[in-house]
Amino acid sequence: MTRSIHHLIEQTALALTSAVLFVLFFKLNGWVFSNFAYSENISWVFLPAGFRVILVLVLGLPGAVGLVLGSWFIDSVLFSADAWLLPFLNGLVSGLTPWLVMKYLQHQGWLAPHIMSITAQRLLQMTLIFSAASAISHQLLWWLFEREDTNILVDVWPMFIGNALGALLMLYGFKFALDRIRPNRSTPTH
Amino acid sequence: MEKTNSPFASAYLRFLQLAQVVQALPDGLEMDANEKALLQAVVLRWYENEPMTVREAIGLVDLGSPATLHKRITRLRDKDMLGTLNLEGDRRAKFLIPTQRTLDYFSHLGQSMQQAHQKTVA
Repeated sequence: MTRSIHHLIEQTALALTSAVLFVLFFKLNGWVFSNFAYSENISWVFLPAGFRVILVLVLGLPGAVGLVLGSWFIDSVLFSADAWLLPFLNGLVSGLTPWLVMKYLQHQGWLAPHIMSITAQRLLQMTLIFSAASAISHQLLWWLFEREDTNILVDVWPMFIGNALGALLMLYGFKFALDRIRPNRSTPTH
Repeated sequence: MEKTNSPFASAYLRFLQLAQVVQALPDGLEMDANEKALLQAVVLRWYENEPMTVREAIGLVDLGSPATLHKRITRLRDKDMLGTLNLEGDRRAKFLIPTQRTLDYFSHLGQSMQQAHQKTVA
């Protein structure tokens, strides 16, 4: 019993960490790439998309729950008594889409269940799939709710590009840091 | 052996695994098979205390035409896998020498070979 409570506490802490990281990088993205905004809700570079990949791969479901919580926090100003459903579903889509896509790809045998078995090329492909899935699911949701100024066939592209660029920037930033912390001597062979 | 059941420990171990995958992401510094063959030829001559000049390197007909080899040398220099050295008294001859990155690369290959050998013996 004590063990399961301890387990639950650790998972909650991981979810909260995931939420905090997502929110911090969302704010950072808005600050650094404010000139790259395509519209109010879409940026040509969206760094938190990188966290969708990293957090879901590393933390699994707690990571996805953290993304949901982070999205709800970001959209908290949009919650009101008569308009809570869209921001509520928006958070679910933001966090659960990458996790569901990962589970589906693992189920299909396309993505190895263990990270060590994932190749660098597969990680890049997965990043693009996550970016596309996230852009499509968000745009579909906004289109279903007839959100103002939503043009799904047009807006899905900048959102996909923003997600992909942001995620690749994050991953290569991570690689840049790692290469300096612990040089990878085998790099030329890969 | 029982694996850890702690979400914290699992998350950290998965983070370490992801770090290895991320570090293997392509960064434009990879060598193709032709570049590796040229690098090996150049480094072997350097190892035998007879470093190869650029003129000799572009004359390795087994590995390609002079123009192709010249481009390949330029690419290897851009990737910090080859450096050049001018000897005192002869400024015309430019010798090709390995960089520290190259030596690290061959050292890594040597270690990998030793590990593979140990696994085979075990």
